[in-house]
This record gives sequence, structure tokens and C-alpha cells, in this order.
Amino acid sequence: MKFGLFYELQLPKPLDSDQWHPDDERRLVMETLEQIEFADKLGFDYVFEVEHDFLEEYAHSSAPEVVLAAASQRTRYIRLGHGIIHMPPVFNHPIRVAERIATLDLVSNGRVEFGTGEGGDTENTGFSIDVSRKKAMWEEATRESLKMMVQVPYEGCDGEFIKVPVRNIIPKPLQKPHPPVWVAASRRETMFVAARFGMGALGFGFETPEEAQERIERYWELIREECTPIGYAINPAVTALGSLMCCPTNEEAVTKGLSGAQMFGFLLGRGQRNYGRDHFHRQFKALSEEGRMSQYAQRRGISIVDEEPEDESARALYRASRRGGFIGAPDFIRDTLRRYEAAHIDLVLFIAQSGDRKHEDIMPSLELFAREVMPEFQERHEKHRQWREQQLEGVPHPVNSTI
Amino acid sequence: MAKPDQIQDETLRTLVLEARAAYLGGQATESVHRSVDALLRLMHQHPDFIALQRRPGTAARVGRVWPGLGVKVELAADQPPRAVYERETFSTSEAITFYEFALESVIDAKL
Repeated sequence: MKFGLFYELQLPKPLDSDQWHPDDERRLVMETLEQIEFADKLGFDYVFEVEHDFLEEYAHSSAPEVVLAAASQRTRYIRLGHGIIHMPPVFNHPIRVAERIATLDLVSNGRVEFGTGEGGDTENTGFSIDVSRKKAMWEEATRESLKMMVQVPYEGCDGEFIKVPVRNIIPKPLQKPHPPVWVAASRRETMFVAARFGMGALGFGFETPEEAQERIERYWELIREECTPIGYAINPAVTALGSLMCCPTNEEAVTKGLSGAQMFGFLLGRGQRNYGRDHFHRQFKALSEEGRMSQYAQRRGISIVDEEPEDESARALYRASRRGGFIGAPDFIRDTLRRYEAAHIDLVLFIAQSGDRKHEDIMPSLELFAREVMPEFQERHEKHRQWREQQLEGVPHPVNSTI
Repeated sequence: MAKPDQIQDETLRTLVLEARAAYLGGQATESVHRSVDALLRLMHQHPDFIALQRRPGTAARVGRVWPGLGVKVELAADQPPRAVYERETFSTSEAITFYEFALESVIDAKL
């Protein structure tokens, strides 16, 4: 099993101001780069960064290609993943996606993971996209973007959403035929779309390792029996996502990490009603101080008053942020990870930076996890790789997974 | 692990199998129609099993929520649920999404 970090670039508004302080966003980005650089040195395998628009306080990551490019120059080994690129062409034309993915792959010496997705409804409507068509747009744009990375020249396209004449899209990526491709799979059904298209599933919707195991079995069965690759190689892989705060004691981890996880869920579930004016951090604090987070809920990392988001993808992420399986001492975290390992999860992505968590708490958490939890899973990864080989027996498609 | 042969209702099983055969044969639109037919039949038998949209203000666990994707469901008193197709064609990923949703829903409803 491998490990990575997952970044939203969350930035709660300061409690003493209606807007962020002038230096807040710069500080957030620079701390993120410092954490990624540190994670690379510690041996984390991946970092994925989201692409979101308009989601104030929840995600200030609207240009991940810029941050990932900066991270590429401060790191040597860690894989750099888009978690995800919004593929509907109004967001990102597939030509520009192919060009940027290839260029990032060149500047990073071949470390890109090409995560794709449809985008949330708030974002799609902000770009005047018909949300009922976003899945079809994702499919067409992803397929064509991958062709653009490989074909010389690109054959062109007269599709439903994309029309491009014959052109050679340059540069080409360093990784051949193209970087490993993923899709955001918070809906259960999307994970099985991923398998049929030969894509890695960035799974944001697991509740428990046991539920994960059932989905993973089906995922690999579909890879073997029904896979028609959307690209030129397949990336069979499944991730799980959870909030990480690793400290010497469970109590310290809860003190330093639980609020950030709860705020993640709170921010996700709010929706945007008064752009530029809402102050969700104050709302969250008011709920906390009123004692509406019960002792029981605090121990379980669950807020009994929060609403789960309506959108299923958002709801899945909300749940991932609440689960306390990775907020604790090394022993506690290890036990949860062993259950995921038994379920054959390929990659666990950790939300380390969320809500009001402090950079000076995140850094030692990463270090403690890397020193006391990660090594045993790295040692056993070869066994997992052999299991994967068994699953792929008879599969006729080339595999370019980096798991 | 959900499989069509776990479906006991013969008509539902046939519809789900036809949906699967259709998307495997490149007939995505036909697949969506078969899956939707199965779901409408399920909803007629169990009106509360699938929510057409998530109820706000609840901390309940996730129920089954209709995928959307250009297909709406109309409910009328004393009438079976009716699908309204907002467009004529569907993509492979949409077909697979509807198929998986129909398969899991029918099995979970123990039909």
C-alpha cells in the first residue's frame, strides 16, 4: 500500500476580520509547498491537488498546475497528481489539458498523474455548464485529450462537445504513452465506470475498509472482464481518502486535528449563498462553542448537527473528512491502515491540511507518521504488487500504473 | 458483489441484463432506457426506495438518489412513475452509471 497527501488549500477566514488578511493566501500556498517538499523527503509517494472554483474557505486551489509545477522544482520523487482536472471543455479545453499535462510531465521529469473529473455543480453552473451533461463532457474530453498526448498528428475530432481539426498537439508528455489516468469516483457507480475504462479510481466515498473490499473485488473483476481503455494504457488502482493527524497520543491528535476535520466537513456542506460575504469559520465556531458538538460526536469525529451535502460527490468527501481513523497515535492509525491493506487498497491519500489546522502541527504529524507507521506498509508493498499481478493475469492491455 | 443473477424478479433481471448487453454492444442510449425501465418498475413497487433528490437538513446516512444525467422521473397520484428523457442520446459512462445504479438498487430492494 502506498501513501500520499491530498490538498484542497483550505483557508478559513480569520475570526477577527470579514475577509482574509492580505498575506493569508500567499502563506497558505507557501506552507503547502513546504509540506509537499517535506513529504517527498519523508518518502510519501504521491501528492494530489484539487481544482475548485468559487469555493471560498473550502478550497483556494483553482490553478493546481501552477502549484504542482512549483512543487516539482522542490521535490525529486513524489508523484504529482491532479485530483482532479475539470474536463468539461468550457473549464479546460482538452487541447490545453494535453498541453499542460505534457509540460508538467516535462518539468517534473515524468512524475504526473492525470486525474480527471466532471466538476461540482456550483463550479459547473459558474461556468454556465449544463450539469446534466457534465459526465458525457468528461468522457469525450478525457478520451480526446489522451489521443492528443499520443497521436502524431492528432486525428481531429467532430464530437458532441469538442470540434478540433487535424493538428499536432505539442509538447508530448515524457511518460509513454501518457501519464497514468484517474477519475474522481465518489459515487459508487463511477468507480465501476473507472474499471471499465481502465482508469484509476480516486475513491472519495468509502465508509469502511470492509465496504472498500467489496467494491475493490468488483473493480478488478471489471478490469479483467469488461475493460475497454479510454486511453492507450490502463491504470488499475483504487484509493481511499481520510483526514490525518498523527501525534504521540490520541488525545493530542484529537486536540490538534479533530477541529480541522470537522471544519472540512462543515465547509463542504455549506454551499455558497453570499459570494464574497459569507464567513463560514465564524458559523463553525459558533456551533462548536454552543456545545452542539457532543462529547460523543467529538470522540467519533462526527457532528450531530451538520447536514450532509446534497451532492453525492460532496457527501462522500464530507464523510471522508469526518472519519477519525487517521486522527490519533501511530498505533491507532496503523490498525485502521492494516484493515485497508487487507482490503487491497492501493493508495491511501491523507488530508493533512484542512480547516484551522496549523502548519506547525502538520509537519511533525507527517514526520511521525512516516517514521513510525509507513515503513511496515512499504516493506509489504511488494506482496501487494504480486497480488495486483495476479489480478491482471490475462488482461491484454498495457499497464502504466505507478502503484 | 452485485450480479444480475441475484435478481429474483424475472422482468427486472431481464431488463438489467438487456441494459448490460446494450452498453457492452455500444448501444449506450438503449442501455439507459433499459436501466431506467428497471428503476421505474422498482419505484412503482417501492415508492420510497429511491429519492429523486436528497432531503436537506438531515444527518441521515445516504439513501439512494436518482442519478439525474438528463432523465427525470414524474410522479402522479395513482399512476406509475414515468421517465422524462431530456435528450435523445446518452454516453457510455452515463449508461454504465445507470446500469450500476439499477443493479445495486434492485438487489438492495431484494427484488
